This record gives sequence, structure tokens and C-alpha cells, in this order.
Amino acid sequence: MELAVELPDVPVQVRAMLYEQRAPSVCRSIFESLVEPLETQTSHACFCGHQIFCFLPAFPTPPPVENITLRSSPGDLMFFYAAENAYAWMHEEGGRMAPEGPTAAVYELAFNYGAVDLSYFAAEGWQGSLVGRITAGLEAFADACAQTLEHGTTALRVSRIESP
Amino acid sequence: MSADTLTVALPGYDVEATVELSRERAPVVCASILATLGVPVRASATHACFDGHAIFCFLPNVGSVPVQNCTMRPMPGDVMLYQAGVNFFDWLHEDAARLSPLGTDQVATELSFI
Repeated sequence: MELAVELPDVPVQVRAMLYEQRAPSVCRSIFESLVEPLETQTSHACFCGHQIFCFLPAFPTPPPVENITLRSSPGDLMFFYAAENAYAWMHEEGGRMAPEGPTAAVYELAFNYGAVDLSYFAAEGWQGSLVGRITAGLEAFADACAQTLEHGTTALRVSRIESP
Repeated sequence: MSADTLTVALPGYDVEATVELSRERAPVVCASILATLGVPVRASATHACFDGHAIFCFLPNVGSVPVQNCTMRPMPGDVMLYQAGVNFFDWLHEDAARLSPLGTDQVATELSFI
């Protein structure tokens, strides 16, 4: 399972592989949610470090946590799920960013473009799944992601790369 | 406006805030900030990526100042000043090299708005 992740207004594009052996249920759910390419905007992490993220459409069933880590690396893809009303911050952050409303369940796909520290949210009990890694194009992607801290959000497109 | 206040404007959004400096609690730090801002600083706001809901900018020409009124638990509306000496932190080579107008061969002084 592979994804194309684009910032079309820059433009840059990376290729990412999903860890379907290590996180099979989550990766399958992510891939199925992208049956149509996702056209959205980047959000930048403000607690976790050098990471951008987006929200995926709701999955039919809540995914398990698989392949947990607090020490993900530059280039890694992480997935975070939070049930409706699970965390206090959802009333603040979710209302601003999540497409489904302030306290709706969160299906977040995050792209580490540099150093990341996930211990802040882990201390609150939010664990993420390491679901894949960028296999090509990280350097230019990282430069563009870092620019969003200073210049704001940019368009983001996530799509499947269909196997031949 | 008293001598202990700052004006912080985001001209691109047409918003402005007034900051009251805590001169009694952080006298040396606040005096340095005021001295530096004898000339207004025009910079670009950068958003924090590890610290939460904060924007920051770098201040030029601030001498080395002590840490005063130290906290890890600033509240919304608080203003923090951070300094990092040359080569003191690993991340200076990544972040300050990209962001600070002074480069990495001078003390980096960051004013952060929570």
C-alpha cells in the first residue's frame, strides 16, 4: 500500500509506504478511507514538533492502536484516533479544525517532516500508530512544511498509489 | 501608555494587543526588552511547534540577560523571553539557522506570546 502526498501550491510531492504488516488494521482503514483522494489543508502540530497533519474521513469502525511509538522519526507517518469527547482539547482544537464538528471523533493522519516528540499527548493518554514512512521526496517536502509555521496553511492532497 | 507596556500588532490581521511588562518580577529582563524596543521591531510571526499555542519572534541586539521569574506553566496572555547562547542547544542549528535574523553565531533572543 502506497500513498502520494502532495502540497500542490508549492508544489512538492512525496511517496509514502504503509506498514501493512506492522499495523494491518489501521493501514487497511486508512487506505480504504482514501478510495477518493483527500483534498484538504495542512495543519501544523503545535505540541508534537515538526509535523503536519490532516483529518481523514470517519472510518466505519474505530481502529485499534497498532505499532505504538513515542519515538517516531523524520519521514514517519503516524495515525491518531480519538473517540467523540475523549479529550478536553477537542472542544478547542476540534471545533476549529475537524470537519465533523467540535467534539466528533478524530481520525488524524500525521506526517513527520523533522524531529518529533510525542510524549506530551502520550502523557494525556493519547497514543498513535506508526503506520508508514516517506520513501521519496522528504527533503523538499520538509522545507515546504516548515514554511507553513511562518506563512500558514497550504493545500494538501493525499491519494492512493494503485499497484500495477 | 506607561513606560512598562508594549504594543504588539499583527498588521496583516489589523489586530493589536497591549502587553504589561512584569518589571517587579523580572526587572533586568524587562529593562532589556524595553531598551531593545527603543526602536520598534518589525518581524514575521512564527508559530511554536513544541510549546503549544504561542507565536514568537526574535529580538535583535539584546545583551545576555539572566533568567528571572522562571516558569514552565505560562498562561494564555503571558509573554515569555527566552535566550540561547551560541551552540547551547542542538535545535539551534536547525531552527535558529532558519528563523533568526542573527544566525547561529550570536545569542538568540526570542519573545514569545502565549
